[in-house]
Amino acid sequence: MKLLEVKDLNVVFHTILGEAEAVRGISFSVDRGEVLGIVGESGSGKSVTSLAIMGLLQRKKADIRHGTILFDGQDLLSMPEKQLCQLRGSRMAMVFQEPASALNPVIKIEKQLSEVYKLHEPARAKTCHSELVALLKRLNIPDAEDVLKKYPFELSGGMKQRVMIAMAVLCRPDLLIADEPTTALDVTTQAEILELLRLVQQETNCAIILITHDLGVIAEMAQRVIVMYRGKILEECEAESFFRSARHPYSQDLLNTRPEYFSGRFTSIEGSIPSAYEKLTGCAYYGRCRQAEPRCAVRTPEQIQCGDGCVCCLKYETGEGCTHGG
Amino acid sequence: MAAEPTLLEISHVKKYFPRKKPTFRQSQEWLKAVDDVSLTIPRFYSVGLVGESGCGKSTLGRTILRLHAPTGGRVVFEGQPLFDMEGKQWLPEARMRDLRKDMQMIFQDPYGSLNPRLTVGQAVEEGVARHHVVPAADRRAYCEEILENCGLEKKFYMAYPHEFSGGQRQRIVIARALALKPKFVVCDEPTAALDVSIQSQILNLMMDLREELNLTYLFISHNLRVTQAFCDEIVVMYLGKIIEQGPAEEVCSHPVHPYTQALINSLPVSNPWETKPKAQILGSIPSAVHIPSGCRFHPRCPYATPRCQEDEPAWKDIGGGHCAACHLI
Repeated sequence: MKLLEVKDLNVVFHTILGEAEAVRGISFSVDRGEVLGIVGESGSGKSVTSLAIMGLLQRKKADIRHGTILFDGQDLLSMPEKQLCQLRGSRMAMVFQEPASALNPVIKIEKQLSEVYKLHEPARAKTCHSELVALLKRLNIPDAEDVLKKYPFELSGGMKQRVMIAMAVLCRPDLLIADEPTTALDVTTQAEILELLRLVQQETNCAIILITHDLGVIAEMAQRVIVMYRGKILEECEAESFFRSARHPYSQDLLNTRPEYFSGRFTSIEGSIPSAYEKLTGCAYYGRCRQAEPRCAVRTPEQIQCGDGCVCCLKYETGEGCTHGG
Repeated sequence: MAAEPTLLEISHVKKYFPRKKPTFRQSQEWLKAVDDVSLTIPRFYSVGLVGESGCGKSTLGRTILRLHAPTGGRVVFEGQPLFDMEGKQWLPEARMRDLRKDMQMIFQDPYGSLNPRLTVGQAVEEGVARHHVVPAADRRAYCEEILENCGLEKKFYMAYPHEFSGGQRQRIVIARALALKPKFVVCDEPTAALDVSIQSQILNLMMDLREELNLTYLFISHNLRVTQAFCDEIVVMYLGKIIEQGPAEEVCSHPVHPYTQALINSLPVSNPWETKPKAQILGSIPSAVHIPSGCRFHPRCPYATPRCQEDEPAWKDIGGGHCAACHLI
């Protein structure tokens, strides 16, 4: 059994401007101990997917039309809130993009960290001080004792993100979702945080879903890659074959926009991602795609099994081009 | 390009911010954001300024344009001193305001730098009217043309900033700066808030406009890869001082300062099968209030020697315009 299985998930937001279809029927799974990278531009639905998995979408505003999310065989969507609360923080945890706004500004770090124990392992909550110090030291925080006595605003961005990671891994979760964990940080700090996530992954053997728009982060960390665009999965494959020979035109374009492939001009993708309010016919990437054909405007491509993954593009309908050229 | 005349000369610029004085302490503490920086920017050059956050790169950009009052030093723009703190010279505010036509800034956050109550047209027209770039009758047509050059259609002229995406807003900010036909533009992380695909669009636009309008850029960024591609020259700052400087390709392929090496090694790999040396610097940038003695980088430097703690390294030329400040060279 897979650790996490998402099947045909569909999320719609009801707003005053109308319905916004943020996630449009996606399916994927995560194995134990695997690092899955999800890439895509802002507005592609990556964060909504992760919030749906964690059960953090506001039930009033977000409507999960259909789909199932199975975590270790249990259906998260039909689970009562109370039971979900027991899972959250202990067996699955999340690291947010903005550590500054994810930590409570008026509570000291030690209390915020021990709260995790209070909820999930009350017996340990009172005596956890030395454990917390040991954990923070393990996460390369030099003066752990001091940090525990501080408020979030007294820490730097990288330090806050380390505290967030500590909070997420306290109960040794099976699944860790990291939503743009290094976007707000400097390159040097980013390298350290990625190193830390790798360490955590090796020690606890947890699965990590790493959401990012930085392909470098994916190249460093992920074993498998999912490319999302406008609420759909356009391509899924092993990380190595993604970087060697991505199939979907969007993946290819994304890979080409990296500044290290600069030759006199930056390769760009013209236009921008269609808004979630637009009703789409045909392929979502039609209009920006340089390999588009007239039929792409009218026919919606289905997901096609292709080599070690799958791709969602009419080009591969016949099964041609599905073998990796290496 | 070496023969191009100097457009901007920055010498020994300092910017200290006073710290709040503790009640019973007499001495004033200073945050030394920019500490004795000298830099010459030739005409038609793109100079990239890189470093971690907190190294003073944005403060330097703003101080040059006199958006911050400088603490010391001298800035000369086209032979005209903007300020000279030692010689007690100070270009009068009215003259400075006229000069701003030639020196513009593109800000990092396109959400914070546009007035939400002005339409796109108003935002762009404001400066054009102030500096009489074109006769009043042609103003509207001129601004529409600039916006179109920056990739915004005419129909958006009467729209308000909230109607645009981040990439489009950044185009408005760029159009607003370039409508004045400036000679020198400070770009403070112009693409940090944008997606990769949009980032390339904006950078290409800035490169095209540079050709068309003969611009000189000071490009502030923490993304070394983008800076390497976009700029002719790279300047690396650490804790308010320049520690390495040279032609972009040269600095990125043969960095000599341990800090620059660490910055480059911290960049994520391009492909999963690549390996890279592990970044060796630890910890984070110290506070600019208590600057370490000797070489400012020594507490984090893997190669630090006792000498580094005492002497401040001198500025050394390694040839080809590549300079660095480190005892180990």
